[in-house]
Amino acid sequence: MATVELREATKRYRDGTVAVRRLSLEVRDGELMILVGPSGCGKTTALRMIAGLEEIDEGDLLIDGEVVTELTPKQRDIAMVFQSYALYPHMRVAENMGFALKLAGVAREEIDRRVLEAARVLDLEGLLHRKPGELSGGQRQRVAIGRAIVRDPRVFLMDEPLSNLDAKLRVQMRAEIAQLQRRLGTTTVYVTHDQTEAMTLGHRVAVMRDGVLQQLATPAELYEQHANLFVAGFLGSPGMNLLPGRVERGHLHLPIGDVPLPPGAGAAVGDGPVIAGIRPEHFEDAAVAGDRPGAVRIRTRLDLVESLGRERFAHFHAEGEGLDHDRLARLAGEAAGPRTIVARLDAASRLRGGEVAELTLSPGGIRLFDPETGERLAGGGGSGAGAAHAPDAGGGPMRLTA
Amino acid sequence: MTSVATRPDAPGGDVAAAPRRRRMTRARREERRTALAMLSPAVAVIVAVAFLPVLYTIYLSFHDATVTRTGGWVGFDNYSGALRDEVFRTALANTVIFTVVSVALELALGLAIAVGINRAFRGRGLVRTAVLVPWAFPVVVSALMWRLMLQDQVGIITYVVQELGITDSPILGDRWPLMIAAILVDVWKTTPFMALLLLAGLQTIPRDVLEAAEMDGATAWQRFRDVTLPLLRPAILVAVLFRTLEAWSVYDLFWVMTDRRLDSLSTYVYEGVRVSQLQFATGTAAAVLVFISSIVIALVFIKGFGAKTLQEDER
Amino acid sequence: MRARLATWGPALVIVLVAVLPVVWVLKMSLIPRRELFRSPPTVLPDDITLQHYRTVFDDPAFRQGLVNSLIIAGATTLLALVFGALAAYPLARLRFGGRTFIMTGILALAFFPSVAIIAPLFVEFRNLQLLNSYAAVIIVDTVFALPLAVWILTAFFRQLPRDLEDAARMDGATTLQTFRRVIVPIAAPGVFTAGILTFIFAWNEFLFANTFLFDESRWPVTVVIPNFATQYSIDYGGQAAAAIVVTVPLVLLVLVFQRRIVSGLTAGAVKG
Ligand SMILES: Nc1ncnc2c1ncn2[C@@H]1O[C@H](COP(=O)(O)OP(=O)(O)OP(=O)(O)O)[C@@H](O)[C@H]1O
Ligand SMILES: [Mg+2]
Repeated sequence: MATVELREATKRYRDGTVAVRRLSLEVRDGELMILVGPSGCGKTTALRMIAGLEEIDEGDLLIDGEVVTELTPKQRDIAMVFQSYALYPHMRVAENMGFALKLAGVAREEIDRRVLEAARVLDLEGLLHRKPGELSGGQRQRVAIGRAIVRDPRVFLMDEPLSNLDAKLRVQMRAEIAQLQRRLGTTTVYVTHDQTEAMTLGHRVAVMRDGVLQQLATPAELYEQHANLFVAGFLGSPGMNLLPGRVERGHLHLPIGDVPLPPGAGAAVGDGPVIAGIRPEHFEDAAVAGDRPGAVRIRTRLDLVESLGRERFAHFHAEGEGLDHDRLARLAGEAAGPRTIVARLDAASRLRGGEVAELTLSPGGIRLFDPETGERLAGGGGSGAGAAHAPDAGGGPMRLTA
Repeated sequence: MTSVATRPDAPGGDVAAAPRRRRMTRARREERRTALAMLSPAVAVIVAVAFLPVLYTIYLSFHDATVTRTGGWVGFDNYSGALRDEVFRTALANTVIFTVVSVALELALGLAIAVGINRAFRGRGLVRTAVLVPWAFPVVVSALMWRLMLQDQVGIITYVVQELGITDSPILGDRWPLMIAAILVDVWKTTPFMALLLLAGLQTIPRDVLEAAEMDGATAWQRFRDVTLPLLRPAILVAVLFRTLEAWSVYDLFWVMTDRRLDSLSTYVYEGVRVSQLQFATGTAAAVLVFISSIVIALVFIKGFGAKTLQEDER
Repeated sequence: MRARLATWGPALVIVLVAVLPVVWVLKMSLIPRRELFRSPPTVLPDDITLQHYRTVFDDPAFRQGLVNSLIIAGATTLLALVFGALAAYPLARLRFGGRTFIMTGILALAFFPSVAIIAPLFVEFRNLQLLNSYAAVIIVDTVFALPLAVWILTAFFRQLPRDLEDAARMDGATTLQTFRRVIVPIAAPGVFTAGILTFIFAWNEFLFANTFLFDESRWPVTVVIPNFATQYSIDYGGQAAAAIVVTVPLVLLVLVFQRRIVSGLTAGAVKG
């Protein structure tokens, strides 16, 4: 049982790349902490810094409050599951799992006992005499986890452990890992770039970008209250639609129409330009939604409607001046994405591409961000529920652009 | 519980500019210590058996040394003795001729073979195996085999040469036929090696570069001269450097093939220090000359032509 | 037909040039003395005899030479692999100062004229009473086999996945334990390739053996052969048989391991 704390930790590679920049992170005892972010953002590097495989150039690492920055991996008592599994190809499964114990000088019988116990937990008993080459991907994955749990270390580190599995197996293993971690109660840091994994597995999630921590929060908080444009854009699939807007006297002017802001919210934000973020699910086909209280109606021509069975995605676009794309890309990263707007519609919707359609928009789902810094603005609809019950229902007919 | 990033600083911000403070962690120290420990056996024997002896040879070459004692300081006497020795001068001439001619032939043939195999990939495996056969033989055995074929009573080559009326005298008797024979054997034996190295180099040349040249209207010869050769230059330089130095210190081939009738620099040294003990000191001087000339050759290739013998990919 | 000749032609010429001399000597070793001296020579043997091989194997020096060659080449291979692997691993993977310097020093040895050091080594071995011992030749052969072994092994170690070493470190292995229990077993194919090439090198070595061994009972075949040729100077069939016998193990090695040999010879040469 242990806590892990990174304090202003920085990693600079030999070629000058700063892979992790002043990262401060505290993992609580028994917690499953997720590190998530786009490719190349420094997740693996951060994990390897905790492991002791990569030196911490500046800052410190503490385990259980004790500075271990300069200790070897062995002295840190941490186990790691590698993305490639890194099983020793010349050793049988049992030897793979018992290798650390053997190196530590644990008695033969004790090793056997613990390997067998771990094998039982992971359903590997029948495979103990095989070599890694004779296992399926999922089985290798289990062995890699088994190798970590046999040691009963203070901390588990996992680097995208599921990324080499097919989709179905991934869901199954995800559940197993969650269960296992809960049962063992071992403090765990888990790296992924899959947001579903992040949201379902993590007690808390740390979102990174370019080596910098963007936000650290529980999955629920993360989805509702994005610290900035980047986090907003990174989460959700398809991502949040980002539109240029302007707040004036309690109203938000958007290229797709005007939306009344909840009382108080407009005042909190203050008049001026903003970036508005609207999740696809906050749109709906007006014919299906009916007259939702507080919803605003917009009319637009749909470019395309995709059906995914349970839901439909309608793509449309707004005329008028767009956002400065370079700046948006800098603030929101990949989420700056294409400029069309995506709406998620109920499967019951009969709308088709090319038609002029009437959609509803729940103003409560709109998030406002500072167009200069990308930081979230306080009034941009803190909680969806509050805003949805805004009294200014119905709104007026909207000024349509499409 | 939401903590918000306080500093969305752009890449290349203050952290990158901060002064470097590399930590030498325990793991790092252990790694370095182990590295040096693992290297030490190899480094120790190499220094003891190769590098120190060279210094010792240089030391001996300035003394009136024999096998049993170092003797007094004689300055450059041994060197002038060697240089004045008719046998040494012949050996030097032989070595130069042998090196230049055999390496040139090996390069030309090796290049032709490499290009040939690279193009027509039919039978490539067979060719590869076949050319490895002469390469794998001990030099003394190749020499013996060719001696048998050049022998004046039973030698097939002698028979053919005489039937064609090229010469009547025994090939293994005179200096020039012997030299030609030695070159022949060396070419037979080491061209494969050359071809293999060049082929490895050829295979790294992307096909589309050549195709692009073809689209630009280059003829086959132009493609070879203007595209293949420049791209192959590094591989050629390394192979030629290696072969030149090997030919420069040719020993066993002359020793066995010519039955000691043809001297090279190396056989001269050997005769001096090992066979006729009287010329021990002169032999050491000649040895130093061989060593220094080898370094000069290597430097000419590396500095002059830019041969890269070592491709380090530091991490 | 024309096209087929064009693709097979060059290959065929090369194969013939490379192999024909060997085949001819093989033929010489199999025909009786009378036929050897016949003029014009026969193209295909009229008569086959093992007489010359009997001569060769009846010669005690020759038999002993084969044994000596095995001892010297075997021991050299073993030592060069151990020293070479120990040196190649840090050169390929570990971080320490002076790596390029050491690598250059080792590889420079491949370009080293052997005669430059036989005089002092002769004197030294005499003082150490190592003259005329296997040890003298094995030590020197090992040193000169090291550049090749280190070169091949370094190239090979560089290709191994780094994750395995990291995993071993996480499992608490020291660098040396990682090397011994993880790297060496996995690198076995590369070690094997280096071993074949080292063996061929040591089996073929002549200069040092000829310098440091003067007792016939210690000579490897490479030294025995020229003497055999002098001793049986007109027994051309015997000489041919001797040449064939020495090359048989090598030809077998080449045939069986040609892929590995080529990859070893060109290791690192093609990079970048
Ligand atoms: N050994 C190295 N030398 C130099 N730069 C490196 C090295 N390893 C990683 N980097 C760089 O550091 C940054 C962070 O890499 P890291 O592997 O931590 O990313 P990641 O978040 O794990 O990405 P992914 O999701 O693709 O695995 C990247 O820009 C990468 O190019
Ligand atoms: Mg990664």
